[in-house]
Amino acid sequence: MDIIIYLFNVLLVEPMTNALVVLTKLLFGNFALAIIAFTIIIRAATWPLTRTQLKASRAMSTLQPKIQEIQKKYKDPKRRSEETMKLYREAGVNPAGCLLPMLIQFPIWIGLYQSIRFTLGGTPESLIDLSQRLYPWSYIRNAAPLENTFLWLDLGQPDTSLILPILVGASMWVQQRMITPQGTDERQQSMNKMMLWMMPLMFAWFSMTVPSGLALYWAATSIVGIFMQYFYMGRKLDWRTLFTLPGAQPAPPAPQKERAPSGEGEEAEEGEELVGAAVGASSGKSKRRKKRRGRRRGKR
Amino acid sequence: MVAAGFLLASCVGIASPEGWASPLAVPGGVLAANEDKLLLVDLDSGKVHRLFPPEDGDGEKIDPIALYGTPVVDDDRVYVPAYDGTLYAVDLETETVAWRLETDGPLIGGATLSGETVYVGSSDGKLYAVDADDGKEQWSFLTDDEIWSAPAVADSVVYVTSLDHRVYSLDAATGQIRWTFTTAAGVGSPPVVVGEQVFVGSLDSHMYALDAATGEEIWSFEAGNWFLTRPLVAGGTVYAGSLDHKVYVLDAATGELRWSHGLEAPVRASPLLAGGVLMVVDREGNLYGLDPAEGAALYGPIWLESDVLADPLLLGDEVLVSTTDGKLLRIDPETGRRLETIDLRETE
Repeated sequence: MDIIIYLFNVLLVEPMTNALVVLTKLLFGNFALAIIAFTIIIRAATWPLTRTQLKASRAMSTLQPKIQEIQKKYKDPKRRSEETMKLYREAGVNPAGCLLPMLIQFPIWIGLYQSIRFTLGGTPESLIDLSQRLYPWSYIRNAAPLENTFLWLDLGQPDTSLILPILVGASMWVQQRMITPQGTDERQQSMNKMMLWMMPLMFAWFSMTVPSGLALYWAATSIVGIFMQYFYMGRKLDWRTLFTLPGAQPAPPAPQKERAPSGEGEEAEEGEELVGAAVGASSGKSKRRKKRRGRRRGKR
Repeated sequence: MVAAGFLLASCVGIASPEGWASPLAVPGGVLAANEDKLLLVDLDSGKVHRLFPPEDGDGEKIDPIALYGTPVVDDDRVYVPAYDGTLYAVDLETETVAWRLETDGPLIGGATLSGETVYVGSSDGKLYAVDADDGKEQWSFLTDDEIWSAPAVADSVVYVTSLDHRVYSLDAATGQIRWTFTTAAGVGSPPVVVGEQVFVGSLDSHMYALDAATGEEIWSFEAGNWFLTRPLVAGGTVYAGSLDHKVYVLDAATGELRWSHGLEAPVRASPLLAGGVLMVVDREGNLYGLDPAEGAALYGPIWLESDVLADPLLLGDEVLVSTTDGKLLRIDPETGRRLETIDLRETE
């Protein structure tokens, strides 16, 4: 176990800590800007993993109607499982594809959190800890201790103004909302809704208790993630539909726009699963828009 | 993601300041700090009495948060710099707060008493000169960054270091600046004035000797990591521990390295000369007894079973070491043998 911790520190935490110090020096001694820049770099470096995750998520979502069919058709769990796996194989989908990239990113995130914690300090004792993690180059060593204030924030302390926790929660909600698939049954919708709210609320709460430098990282990583997903989706995100909750009753339709009678399953089969498809599904206009997107995606 | 969140919340909380105030001899015993409490220890009986902050009573509740700066005493008062940003003057007889000076940042360095004036630096960047009698501010001097060290006063001049990379020399009566010396990084350790020289360690990993009159550099010595300790200067020799896990012994006149000794961990506590032994305690609580002339190990490392960040105190023929787990250790400097362990958490 000690060797794992040692390797984790040497290979991840210490390089990240030193990189943060260098970025701070390059960015006018501003540690908050360094966190934001570092977040962008990390997100860019892990983009292949993120893209794999998004791709797998999209594919899984596309298969939802068929999975539903299998669940209805087969009562025997073993058979149901076999048929589901068969479906995955035929579609070329790896069910672990969503989780694996995320699991690979966990150590990177935790390493980054540790780096921010070491670099920010917050107590005089932590300066001694930091001294043991900096590379013996005067450019880095002489930079510490770093300035830890930014706007109204003391980056080593929680943000008591609640502005940052709200920003963390809101940005995380939007990011989560963008990848929340349209469930094909109530149970799925209920689960999606729970996930959609639980994570942002949880991290907003965390943001009230951890150093605001970490909360700034969460907000930055979510905002960068939103942009990445937006461009990954081909800039076809309908922001107006973003705030229509999954499973929520649709807004009263305009008299001339009657609700489409059905067809969610069809649309899902067409490969429409991200936000544009997931939300506002009940308005005829939205459906038409979704179908257009689905076709364009099909062409790609 | 959720699991990662819980993991983070459990391991990435706010670090609590613990304090590293050193023990201090006073009439009737020793003052020792444990986290946010200042305790009066009777070495004869081993009894521990809480002196500050006062036990909850009818008065206003005081929360010092932690004690880093070593207090200073005069005849009937102790002046306690606290992490809550306040300098408290505590009456030793009544154990009440006589006055307080509130600053805009934590007090990490110790206080210094000279004549009727108490000097204390704050993380708000200011050095305060305060009337010891009534706590009225006489003057203050603003530096460009936090002050983490106790000022030194000699010949009506006050010397103070700042994380703005500078050492300042100020007129003790007025706060007027006399000279500054700039290092390549923040300065977090206190200056020591001996004769015509000011000795100070910096976070640029150098120990400097400066001309006390002009601030000009006489010599500098580079270690492998930061100096965050108070150097010990005695007999024409500078003894200083570094965060590079070494203690260095330098010629005070030239800065020439006489010898160095490798340790298990970084050193925050100041070295101490007791009889014919140089005592050094590293952060992990390893105690070393070294020959001050040659650096040969006389004993140690002896593990004290807890981290040590506070400077040890020589009292008579024994040395007192305060550990971060709330113990005050009485140690025989000749052998390193522990004579007694006093638990500072067990107050009467």
